[in-house]
Amino acid sequence: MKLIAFLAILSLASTACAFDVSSSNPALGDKVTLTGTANPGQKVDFQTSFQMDLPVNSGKYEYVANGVDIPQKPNQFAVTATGIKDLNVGVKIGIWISKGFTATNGVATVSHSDVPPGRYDLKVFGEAVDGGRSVNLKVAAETAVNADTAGRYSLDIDTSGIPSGAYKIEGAGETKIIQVGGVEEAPKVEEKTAPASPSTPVASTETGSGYSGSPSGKETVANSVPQKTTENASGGQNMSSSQPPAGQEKGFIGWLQDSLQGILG
Amino acid sequence: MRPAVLMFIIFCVSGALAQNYNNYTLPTYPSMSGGWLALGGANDVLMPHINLKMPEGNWTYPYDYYPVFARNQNVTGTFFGTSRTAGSTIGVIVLKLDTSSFQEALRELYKTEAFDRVEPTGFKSITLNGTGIGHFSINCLTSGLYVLLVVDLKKLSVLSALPMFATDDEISVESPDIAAKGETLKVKIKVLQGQRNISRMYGAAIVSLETYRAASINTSSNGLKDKMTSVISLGNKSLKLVGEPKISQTIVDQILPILPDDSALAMAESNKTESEMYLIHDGDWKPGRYVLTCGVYSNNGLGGIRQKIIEMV
Repeated sequence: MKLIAFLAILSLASTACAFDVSSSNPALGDKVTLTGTANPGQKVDFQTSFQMDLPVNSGKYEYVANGVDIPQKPNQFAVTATGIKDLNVGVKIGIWISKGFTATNGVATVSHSDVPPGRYDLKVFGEAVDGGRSVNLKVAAETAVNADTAGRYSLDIDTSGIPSGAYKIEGAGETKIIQVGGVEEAPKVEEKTAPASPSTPVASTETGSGYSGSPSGKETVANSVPQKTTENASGGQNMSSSQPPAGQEKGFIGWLQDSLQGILG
Repeated sequence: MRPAVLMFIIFCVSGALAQNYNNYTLPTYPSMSGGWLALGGANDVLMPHINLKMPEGNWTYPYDYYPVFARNQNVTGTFFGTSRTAGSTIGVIVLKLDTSSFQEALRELYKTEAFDRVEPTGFKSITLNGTGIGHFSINCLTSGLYVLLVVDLKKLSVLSALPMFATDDEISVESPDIAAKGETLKVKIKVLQGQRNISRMYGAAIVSLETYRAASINTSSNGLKDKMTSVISLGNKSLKLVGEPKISQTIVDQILPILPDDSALAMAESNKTESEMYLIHDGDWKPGRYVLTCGVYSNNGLGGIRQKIIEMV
């Protein structure tokens, strides 16, 4: 789920002009810099999504990632799990904070915007639907950068903590794919159809470089070898285009505010 | 806390002899001169120590626990006066505090010195018996934060005071009593008599008992909101807030880092009257006793709050 951060930055889609990527084959933990030009002061949005299939053991699934780097604000993230009874997402911000969601028709989504930048440990877990062998986990992210007075912009992406593999970056009307963590298998991108309904497993663009067990990053996956896939840009599971999912809701801070205000009167 | 104790008693020793409410302070010792206030049937909740230093006077809450009542629950209690107050008539007043502004709430509290300017939520006039003891019962309260005052009706002075919460519903908490390090702690919260088919937020927090007991909030003010300072202390970490301590994302962001590593939060939202959540704890938590605090909130207000002790092994 460092992916989250990474994805947020990686999938850049927007209105600006073309952008450049400092490296198309960064090692895990390397910094990748996106640069480009736009109108002076223009906000350039970037979007990305990423998904993987998690195995189910004893009816449960789990995904853990350590040291995920959350980029600058504004940022927005969404995690969608398919084939589940419930979805629990934990973030370690000094302490562990977790939030649970009940699935509707086997699908649950959690989203959050303007997460304070920083490095976090993440954990996604819960119960799969009865008889399910795998759970599809999709992470979508979005961030933005402002061009300077000369119209130049630059965005750094920290790749530590994310799974190795091919990532699609969308922005400025352009899509680029980079291979993070070395080329264990040649990355390839093939398109599949977009999701039809919440109860239908989300189809996606897959990379040939499957997510092979414990990735070379800090990420670990309990008891299993999940498969990672990269979302098709046009097929679109990004934050701005996804339909309101079952179980989606406001973030922890909002809840805490409400709760404390409730407690206080 | 103290789950075996159904009768939660908080002895609130106020200025039994105080002549001026501005100087009213809750001492930290049980006064032999009377002024004790005992509440029955409340759910006791451990809270941080709160100290207020205001132009109107200083206020210290000397006890670990705060009484919490459910909406449909009558507030019953006993006032233990002195022999000198035997046979006299006292008033038991319940005021709901306007908590939209922390400072205004405090002023409202202090304003009670002039009782004609406040409209009590509840009022009972009782006559103390020959030993200065009187029992009272106040009808159900809506959810919110209240202060209960015992007043000498002749002198219009406060004999005893106590803050208390009222919640919309009662809740129950199911969790293991013992947790192993590194294991996720499953918590199930049930709303016992609440309204059905409304959206509720369920929350759980776990903090070591040692940390919880040492937590404190010290607030001081010269009367101006922007000059108010609050220091929140948790363990060996503290946070200083300037200005009125309104709940905001900024403040929450500031508080999260000072929470000790051996604590965790969990939450869930549901339209049902129960929900499960998981508190994640790392393997480096110290063995010992931890306070599990669970709460439920809806648009109607605080739906319930309850605590229990978890033993970490």
